Amino acid sequence: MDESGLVNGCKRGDMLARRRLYELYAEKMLALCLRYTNNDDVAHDLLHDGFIKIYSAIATFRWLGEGSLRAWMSRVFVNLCLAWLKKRDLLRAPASLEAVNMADDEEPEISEVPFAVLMGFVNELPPGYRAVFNLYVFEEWSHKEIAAKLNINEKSSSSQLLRARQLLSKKIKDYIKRHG
Amino acid sequence: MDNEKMLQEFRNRRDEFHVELRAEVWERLEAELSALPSRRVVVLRRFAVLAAAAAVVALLSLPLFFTSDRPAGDVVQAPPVPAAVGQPDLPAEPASVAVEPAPVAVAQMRPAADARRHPAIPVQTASLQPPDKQPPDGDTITTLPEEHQASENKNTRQYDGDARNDAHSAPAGKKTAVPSADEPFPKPTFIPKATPPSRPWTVAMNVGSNGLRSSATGAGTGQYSKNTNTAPSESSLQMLPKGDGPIVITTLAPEGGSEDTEYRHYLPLSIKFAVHKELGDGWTLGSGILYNYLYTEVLRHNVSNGTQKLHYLGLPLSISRQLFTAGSFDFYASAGGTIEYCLSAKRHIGRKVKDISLTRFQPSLNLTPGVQVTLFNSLSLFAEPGLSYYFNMNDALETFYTRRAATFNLQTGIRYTFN
Repeated sequence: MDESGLVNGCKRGDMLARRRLYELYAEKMLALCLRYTNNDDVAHDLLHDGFIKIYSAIATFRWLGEGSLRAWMSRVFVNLCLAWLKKRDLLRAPASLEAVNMADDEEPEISEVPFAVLMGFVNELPPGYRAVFNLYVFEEWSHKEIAAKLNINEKSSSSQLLRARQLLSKKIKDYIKRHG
Repeated sequence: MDNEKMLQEFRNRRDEFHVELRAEVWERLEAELSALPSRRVVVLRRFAVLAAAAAVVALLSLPLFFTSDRPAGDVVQAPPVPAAVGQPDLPAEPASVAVEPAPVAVAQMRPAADARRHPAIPVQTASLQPPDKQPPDGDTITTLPEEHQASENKNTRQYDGDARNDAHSAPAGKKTAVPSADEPFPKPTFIPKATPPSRPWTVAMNVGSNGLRSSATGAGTGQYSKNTNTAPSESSLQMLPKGDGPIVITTLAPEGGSEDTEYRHYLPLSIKFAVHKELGDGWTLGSGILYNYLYTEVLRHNVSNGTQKLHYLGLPLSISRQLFTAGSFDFYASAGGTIEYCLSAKRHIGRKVKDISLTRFQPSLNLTPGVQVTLFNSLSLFAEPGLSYYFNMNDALETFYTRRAATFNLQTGIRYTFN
């Protein structure tokens, strides 16, 4: 069943199509939720809530080519995660951003580092930095868009991303040093 | 840290991140989904609009069946023909009674249905005419051809009555005659048609919009933004009033390599120069030239990222029917179609201007009731609220018409009639 057929099946309420959609995208959406929440239980709860919303709202979805379904689903889950973070006031940036070292630190080569380790480092970031990092890197939002979504200004978004990159670089360098 | 190599590496390896999915999630989902009503999305919009169009065209055509079959001014006359055979013998008049032959009827046409009952006899009612115009064999009984006798017997009752009702009747006591098949039928006399009324031309100039919203929140001049393919969160489905201005429909569509772009379609603007020719009986044929402007704002995550502008030139064709007049107001209905050609389609993203690749021709169907009020002499104002259906010629392109194929619209303008 291709993506278009899958969408039509879900619109009709076909349980097989819904199951197939879940099998195709559940793991990816769970990974997305984990990136934002850093909590396995919360991520699974948000996964369940997100798919309920997907199945309920798919009647209004208009398939516009390969990738459009995943993009739409990602947006559903991102909004869910951000709402969860906002509700717990976890999006607030640290009271005082440390003076950002604007020196040109060379970022480490990460191709040899297991991705699970890299994501572990991302999950260790403060929630606000992590949200900005995820939105900028994985959702590919601009700072203007991130600022509008998180109700911060663009400069704050840019600074938080820079700080996140610095923290990640330090952790990765330490990892590479320890593991050769 | 301007180099984003590390960040790009994270993006490229995104799908390497595997997590363990708990089995009970689907079980829980399945249980809850079975409680959700299944939504059957049946796209009937196109067929419903076409069916509505056919129904309106049929309605408009109904008056045609009730108008006269014969143009005014045509009158066919035939010479008088005595009543049908089979009239019972009347008692002979006493010799002393002088019976003047009654005036022979000047034929008038009967409804065609009567004529079909008896193919051998031209059916006509009689009216008065001087006796010298009688057919030569008015008193002679002539036998009908055999093939007509049976049907003639059946129609005896019909013609008996008709004979008595005729203004002319054969002199009492005399059997009336019927023409035989051998007798030549007198040549009918035709009266020339009256001079047909003049069929004026009308030119009109109107502006309007092909895309009023029909919802309660969006009708008229309000502006709203509705996200359709967005995530169904509270904020994205909210109507966002933006003050006075054109009505907007927002869609979410992929654009090139981007996976998350929003299109905010503004109300199309149209300007039309029309020419109409009256055909008679309240019917009018119309054509002209039409300009349509489609403007769309391109956003990413609710932030303006550019604009999309399309310019169309079209050829409309319509047929109108006058319904009724009330004072200075004329009410009518029109049905037709338009074929438009996209002259220019560009997308402005930042400082870049990109030509949009699309199917240039855009056909549409229109159904429009209208009202016209005469101001003075040949000048009148009109308003035409109607329904348009735009065929989707560019499925991957986001425009007002690809997103909202069936729309209500309003055209207003002035008309000048040339006699």
